[in-house]
Amino acid sequence: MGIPNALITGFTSIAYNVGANRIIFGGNFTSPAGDPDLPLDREKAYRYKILTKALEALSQDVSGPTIFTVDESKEGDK
Amino acid sequence: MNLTRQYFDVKDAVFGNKTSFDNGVLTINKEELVQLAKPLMKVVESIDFEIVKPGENTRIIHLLDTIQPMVKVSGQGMQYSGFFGSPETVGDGVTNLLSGFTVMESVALPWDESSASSGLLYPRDAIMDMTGPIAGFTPFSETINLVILYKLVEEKSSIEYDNDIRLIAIKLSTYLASLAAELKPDRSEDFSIDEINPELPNVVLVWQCQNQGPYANTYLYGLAIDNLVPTLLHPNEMLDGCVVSGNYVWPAFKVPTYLHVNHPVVMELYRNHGKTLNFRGVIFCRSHNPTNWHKERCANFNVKLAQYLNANGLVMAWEGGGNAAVDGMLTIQCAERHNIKASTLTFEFGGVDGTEGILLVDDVPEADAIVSGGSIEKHYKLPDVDRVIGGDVMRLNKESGGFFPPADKSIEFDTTTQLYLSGNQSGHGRLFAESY
Repeated sequence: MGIPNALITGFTSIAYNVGANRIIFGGNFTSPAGDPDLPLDREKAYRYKILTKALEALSQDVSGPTIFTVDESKEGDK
Repeated sequence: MNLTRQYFDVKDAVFGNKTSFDNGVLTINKEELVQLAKPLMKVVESIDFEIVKPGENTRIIHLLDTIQPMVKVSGQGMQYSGFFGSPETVGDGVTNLLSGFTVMESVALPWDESSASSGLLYPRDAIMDMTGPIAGFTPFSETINLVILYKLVEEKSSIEYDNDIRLIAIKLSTYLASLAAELKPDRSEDFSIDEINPELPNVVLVWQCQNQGPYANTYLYGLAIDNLVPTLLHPNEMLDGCVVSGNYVWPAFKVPTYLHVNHPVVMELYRNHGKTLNFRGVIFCRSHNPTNWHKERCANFNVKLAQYLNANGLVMAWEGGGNAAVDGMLTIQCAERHNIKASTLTFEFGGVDGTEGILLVDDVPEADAIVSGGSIEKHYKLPDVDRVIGGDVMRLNKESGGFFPPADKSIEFDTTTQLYLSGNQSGHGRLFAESY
């Protein structure tokens, strides 16, 4: 039913509270799909990882707002 | 830490041949102030002044910061410590304040894409009226205001403009306050939280301010707080001006230096100290942390400091809109989970009648004691005015190409975004609610 969607954001709680189904915890507020502090080749890899995670989320069934994390250093039980 | 504030009432302000303060009348010689500011005018071409008084049918536009004129007369450090001197800890001794009088900054900061003026974080036109339907949004419709009008040198950077504007205003306000040195104050007030009553609950304020780069900064002892972990302030440090605003992006939410120095929540907690509670201190931090992860880190620091102060209660207050609300809500959640009761005050959305769409950008189940500062989605029709300070046209809606209506004519707004301090969460406000 409908078109599955995924949201890449740094502000997961707002996304969660408004009921976004697939929430990708990406980069910072000002650059959710990347990290301009990284050298360009590393940033490209990071961007790819975020996007891959978003696509992976799209292909999964979820029953309610679900947060998908990309950055291993911030991964944890939510 | 013991601070005595000596208040000198300014009953009138006029321009004249010599700058002086006698019998409550502040006489201002423009040329004298210009000469005083000259060494600081690096990217400012010229300055001029206007005096605005309560009850006048006057509008002020392009409004940036509003400063409480004050000068430290004894105790370590100086007023607005960190500007014009070493950032020595303040909050002890005696400070003289001009009461009922402010120094304001007005200038249309350039809207060029190369500077801090890009994206959503650009200097929005801040508008206030001295009379009429929006006068109550600011405390400054009831004060005499000396507005500094800046003319900028073209093609300079945001950081340079910002720096000159602030330093000139602090310098001039300090000079005016120093005129009261030999006079007898109208009132004085002592501030100390040294005595603690073990029978009363311990309460702290968490004061969280915006810092997102030039034009969206807050300064603590002279330095922008972009990388600040939550820190502890004695409330007297705030009274002496350790926090200074450099925030011009959201007129509704920004907190001018005047309200950091006369912070309504700090003042209320002081009035209750020793009577209904023990005011244990101010936890000061940055809002607008870049992700939920950073926001949780900040929230945990806030609560850890509150625990060190044996806080039973925490008042959460923030500067800013939705982004900052997430930071605030996470601190409330963290506090409640550590058995510290938390309350907050915030603006709401809710559309014209207060029930449409979302009311708050973010909330947590633990946020069960919220004081409403009113809706920012109310419609206001500003009337024609006789006089405008700051320019001939307003500058609105940069995102959609800009709209520049005449500043003295009636105009309708469907939100209060442009109206100075209309949604600020420092506790200033005249709204009340009545159940019926």
